[in-house]
Amino acid sequence: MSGESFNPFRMAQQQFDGIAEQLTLDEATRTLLRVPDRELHFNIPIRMDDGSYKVFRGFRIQHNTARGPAKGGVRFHPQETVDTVRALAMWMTWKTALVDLPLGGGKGGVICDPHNLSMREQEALCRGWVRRIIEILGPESDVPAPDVMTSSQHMLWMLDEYEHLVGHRAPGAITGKPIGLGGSLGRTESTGYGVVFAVREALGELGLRIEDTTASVQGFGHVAQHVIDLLTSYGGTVTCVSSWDQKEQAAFCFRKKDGVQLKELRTITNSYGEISRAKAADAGYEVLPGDSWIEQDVEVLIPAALENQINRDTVKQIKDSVKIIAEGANGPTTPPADAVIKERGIWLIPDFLANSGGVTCSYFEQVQSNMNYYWTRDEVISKLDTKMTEAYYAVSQMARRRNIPMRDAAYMIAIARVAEACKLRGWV
Amino acid sequence: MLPRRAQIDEVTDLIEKSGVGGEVPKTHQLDFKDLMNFRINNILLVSSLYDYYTLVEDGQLTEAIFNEYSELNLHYAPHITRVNSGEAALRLLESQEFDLIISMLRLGDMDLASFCGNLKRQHPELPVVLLSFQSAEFDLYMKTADVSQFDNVFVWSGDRKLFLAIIKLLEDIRNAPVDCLEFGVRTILLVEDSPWFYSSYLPMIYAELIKQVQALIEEGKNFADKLLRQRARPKIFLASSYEEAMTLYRKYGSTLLGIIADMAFPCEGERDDLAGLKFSRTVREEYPELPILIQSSDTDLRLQIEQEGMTFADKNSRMLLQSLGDFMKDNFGFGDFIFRMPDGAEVTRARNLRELREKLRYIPDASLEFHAARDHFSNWLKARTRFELSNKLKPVKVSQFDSMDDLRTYLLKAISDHLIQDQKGVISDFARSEYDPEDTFLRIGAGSLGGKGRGLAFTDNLLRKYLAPDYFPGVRISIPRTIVLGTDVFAQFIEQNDLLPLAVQNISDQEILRAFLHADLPPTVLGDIRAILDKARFPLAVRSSSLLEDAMYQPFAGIYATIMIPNSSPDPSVRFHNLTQAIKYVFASTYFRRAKNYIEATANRIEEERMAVIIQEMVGEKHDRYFYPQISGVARSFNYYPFGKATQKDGVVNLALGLGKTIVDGGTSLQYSPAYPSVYPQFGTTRDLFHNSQLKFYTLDLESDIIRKYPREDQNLVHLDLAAAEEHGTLKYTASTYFGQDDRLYEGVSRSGPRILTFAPILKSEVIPLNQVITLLVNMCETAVNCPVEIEFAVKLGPDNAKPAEFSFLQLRPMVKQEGHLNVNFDDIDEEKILFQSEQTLGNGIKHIRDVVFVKPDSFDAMQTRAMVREINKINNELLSAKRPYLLIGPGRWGSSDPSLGIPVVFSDISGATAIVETSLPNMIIDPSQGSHFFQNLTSFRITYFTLRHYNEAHSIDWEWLNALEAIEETDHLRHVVAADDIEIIVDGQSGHGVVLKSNSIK
Repeated sequence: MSGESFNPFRMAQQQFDGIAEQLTLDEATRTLLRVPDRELHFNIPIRMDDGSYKVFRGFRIQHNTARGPAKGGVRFHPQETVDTVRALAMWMTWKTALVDLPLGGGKGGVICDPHNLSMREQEALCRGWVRRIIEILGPESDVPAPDVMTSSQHMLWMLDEYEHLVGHRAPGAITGKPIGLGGSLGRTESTGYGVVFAVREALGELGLRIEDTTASVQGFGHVAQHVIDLLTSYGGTVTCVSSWDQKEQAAFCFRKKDGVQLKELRTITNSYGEISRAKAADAGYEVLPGDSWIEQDVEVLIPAALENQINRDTVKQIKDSVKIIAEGANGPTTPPADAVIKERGIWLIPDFLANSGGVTCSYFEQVQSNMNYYWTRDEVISKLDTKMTEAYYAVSQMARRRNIPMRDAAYMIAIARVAEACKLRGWV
Repeated sequence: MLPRRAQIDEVTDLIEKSGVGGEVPKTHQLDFKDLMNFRINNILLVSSLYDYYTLVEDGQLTEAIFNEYSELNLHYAPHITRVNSGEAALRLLESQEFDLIISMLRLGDMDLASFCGNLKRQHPELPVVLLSFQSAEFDLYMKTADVSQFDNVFVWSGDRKLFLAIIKLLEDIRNAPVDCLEFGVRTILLVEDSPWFYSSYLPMIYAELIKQVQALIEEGKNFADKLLRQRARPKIFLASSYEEAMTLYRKYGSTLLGIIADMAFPCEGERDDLAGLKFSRTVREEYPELPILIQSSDTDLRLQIEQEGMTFADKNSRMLLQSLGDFMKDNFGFGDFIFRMPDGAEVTRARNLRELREKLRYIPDASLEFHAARDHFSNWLKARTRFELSNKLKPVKVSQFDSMDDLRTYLLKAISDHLIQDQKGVISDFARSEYDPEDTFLRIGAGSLGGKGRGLAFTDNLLRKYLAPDYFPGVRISIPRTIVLGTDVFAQFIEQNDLLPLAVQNISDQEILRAFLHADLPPTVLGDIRAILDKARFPLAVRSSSLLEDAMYQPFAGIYATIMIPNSSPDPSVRFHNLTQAIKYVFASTYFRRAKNYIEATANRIEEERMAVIIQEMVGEKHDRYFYPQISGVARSFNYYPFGKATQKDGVVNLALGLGKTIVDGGTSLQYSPAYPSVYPQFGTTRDLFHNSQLKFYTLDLESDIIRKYPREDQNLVHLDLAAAEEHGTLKYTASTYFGQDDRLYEGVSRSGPRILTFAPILKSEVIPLNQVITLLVNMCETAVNCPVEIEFAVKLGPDNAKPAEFSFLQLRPMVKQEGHLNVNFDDIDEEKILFQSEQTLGNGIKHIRDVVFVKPDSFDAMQTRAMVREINKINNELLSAKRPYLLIGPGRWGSSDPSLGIPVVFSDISGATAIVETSLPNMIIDPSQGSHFFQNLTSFRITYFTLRHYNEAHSIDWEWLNALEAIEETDHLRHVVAADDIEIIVDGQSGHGVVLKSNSIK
């Protein structure tokens, strides 16, 4: 990680301020939108397996609900900070607005390390989390979803606790549920597929054929894996992926110049997305330092892990061959790096467009759950493709027409929609 | 791709000799191979080593040029050879070929004039240019020497792009007579006498030109189209004097996009300070709207030039090159079409032709008139290589129209027609943002188009090249709008769902289907399928197009599924579901029992098969809740069973009312020879009329677009009586009426009486020249494919005396010709040895078998034919597995879908038979249906086919001998016997005489 001191919420506010200026939003609207509407910070005491009690800190932040119920994930992370969660909540507001979903933005978290918790302890955390904020949860108010280090199992525990407390079934209260228990087909791959749909359209606009394209992906979680899957299906080649090694507490890159083999990598990866270095080397992969993904000689870079990965230091390592950066993760690029990327003429697809496939599919899950009728996977993916393509084109058209970066164009569309909703509701 | 130019004449000859229809179009669709035939590939540079290193500091000139070409996505780069003297150059030219000589000023061994003189004497056609550094020596040389021997003189200023410009300039002038005068490629005329000036901005002009064209290249439908646009980019001419400019103008004036001229240059041997203005005014007399830029260092001339409607550029300005670039962009039709009002205010822009069409609908009348009156649309289209449309619009004047609305309507139609025509004969890659349901042939996904797909693409190409749309007045011939999912989609589907291990097993079709229907389609196509359905709101046929079908002699007729879907539900999810299910059904049919049996009978393996899927617009019209064409047909250029005066080579046609399933499934249809369209042998007697004419027809039920748990191939089809057709009004041109009192047939349905589908109004009265169309198309295809062919088609009749009719080409299949002549004298054969014989036999050669399977004649019951199918299928599979070919004997028409006409087997039920005998019964006298899939597969597998008439004694079968053979199996309806020695089957393909000889002994 670079030495640059990084506050994601400040970054998110900076981004908002710039756009608000361009949109000439009035003061009241700016004030309303640059901070979350509502924050809940709370303790979750749980009994550990060894009989002791431990108190965990959790939050749920609702940034804005003018366009619909708050939507956002719940993450378990030892380094979670409230500013991170605020930023993520804000980005969710913009994300749902950008893809034109009838939803607002929210995010939640618990400061913990699930690697060090048993399944029973994690279940207790999930149930405790719901109990502490039951008043603001529900299909019509706030709909959580999985996020970093939470899974469909966690969501199901949360849903079960919610339904127990409200006294009836409410499958639309939480998304990310397992298939067969209210989950939507296509959900797992939706974020990764969404990134590729956006990349596909961007390549088309640049006159590049996806079959002739190489890419480097940071991360090997769900998003990254499905990015690789679909990009390869389209005929593209992913030459480098990175993954975190929990034991070493460091990231490593795995490179194969004629293309990584997803099936092969999956066989040497654990449930947290950690690729075994030894087995990868045996399988003919070059094992490189964790930051190497960014300096690959490829046309497309896809950061699909954590925030703050492309910053003023690492941006210098990006090769001239890179034509597109598609932000599969949230906030991977800092504003100083953004400026460099813009100057170099690299086409950047901002996070809340590129990775909005996940929230789109979450929305599909809500719809199906609320109707208690579930679609085929083909139906889900085709609708996802259509939605992502439409969203991409809206942003791209604005960006080209006004000769502004895609991020700015995306923000303008999203913020304008949210601002309008607030005005129409009579809030400002 | 069809052969080019001279090689395509055999089809043109055929059409012209046919004497029907209109003229064969003299021009064909422009192809990139038509353009830029002269290319500079090898350059000889005559320069000292020092000069050479000055040109390129690191000495890598070839690589430098290569990089320039690569950046511009040009697919070749010329090679440069350097020699250091004139002598060396002349020597090298004796043994090597070059396309261009570039000579520096200092040659060392000889003076330039001598070098150039020698060169031109020995190689008069070889272009030579002088390249020099800007120096006093060069200035002096230019003042004193005669440089007219050089094709051009250039000054090196350090820009390597100059090489590109030199090459392009020389290629342009060489290619201009063909590219510009014949194909209408546009031109830009640069008039400048100073080598220093034009050497510095020619590279800029070319780079700007190619940059502008890049955007057009991206609009290319496919790679070949992109190459076309690259090669059809505007050409640049350079003139250095008034006389040169006038020469070029007189020759290429009509192709000019614009002129960039210096103000002062030589005229009549003397420098004329106003030559540029003089020249421009001459041009403006003929082309008042032609964009002209005049550059001069005298800024006082600006006002005058602008008042005359031209653009002024200050030669001394640091922004001169920028100004030139802007002028080109704004005036030469590159970039967006900018709609303006007469006062210059911008209204809107269109990036491409489709957007132009959309914006044209709404722009104000004043803007429309402004652009139309100045040929702006035509010029813009020309710059975008839309030559045909540009030429069509150019002569049209605003004054021809009563109103702006009429003009607008005319323009919109012209563009729409052009877009439709443009797509014909071209397989474009599907692009969601560009998708227009009017597009004729699109592809989604990589891989092969499959046999059917390729046949359709070929036919589309054939029609486009040889038949103008109005070749047959009142009849439009085309293929239906088609989208093909390439075989890679199938491969991905199988792989991602891990279906192959299950699919190749010996399990039921239902199990396979269930697994396939529950599997997921590749995510790479789902969004595209949804995008198709957003716009395509007409019934669709989802058809198989397999890789193995490609092989000439394996037609796979009727082996795989075809699903017809109404695509009519108001719920887009239902339509999406039904289309995706239909695609999966077709995929699944790759592994159905009939397909496995079929493939087993060929040299292929089921694992090799790949399936493309055709999603095609169905042909027909809506009648109440039903959809069907008035006519569907199959025409073959070779008739195995000619009747009357007709010969085999006259071919045979089957026509039916409604969907073609009637014909391809072997149902009753009208059959006739194209040489005798008024003769119907099947209607010999009154009884024949009613017995042998089509009584029911297939339609698509438009209200059946629902989600079904267990889909079937024919789930949306309905079999209706002729009475329904009468209600729909579709018998008017297809039926005749039987009038009992006269015992006669009358054309049409104006009288009351039983209706007989004779198609007499069309075949006899020729309300549309259908028979001529069929004859010509079949012959065209046969000529193009170089073997007999079968075509499937459907016809939609128009409301006004059947016009305008739409003839839709559905499929083209090569036929396997049963060739050969066996030198056998049948008279010499001992009659005692004959099991049976016929002079109506299909096939050729000698075969040997031991197994015979026959339908027990004494207990034959026409009501039990379906049960017989199951028994035959079982025995067939056993014998197929044991690799024992057999002889199959049974009554009626084998393979008929109508169980009352014969045993309704499909090909896979009898695929192990090497010979089939069709016997007639007193109540079952059926001719083979040559239009059916069954028949097609029989002939392609060279299965011998005997027809025996029960009333012909010579056709009798020695049943006693057969029944005495050892019985392997006996079922309710069949008997399977085996002979101890070979039974010989002998057929003379030429005479049609066949005989089956008993084996020597009886076991």
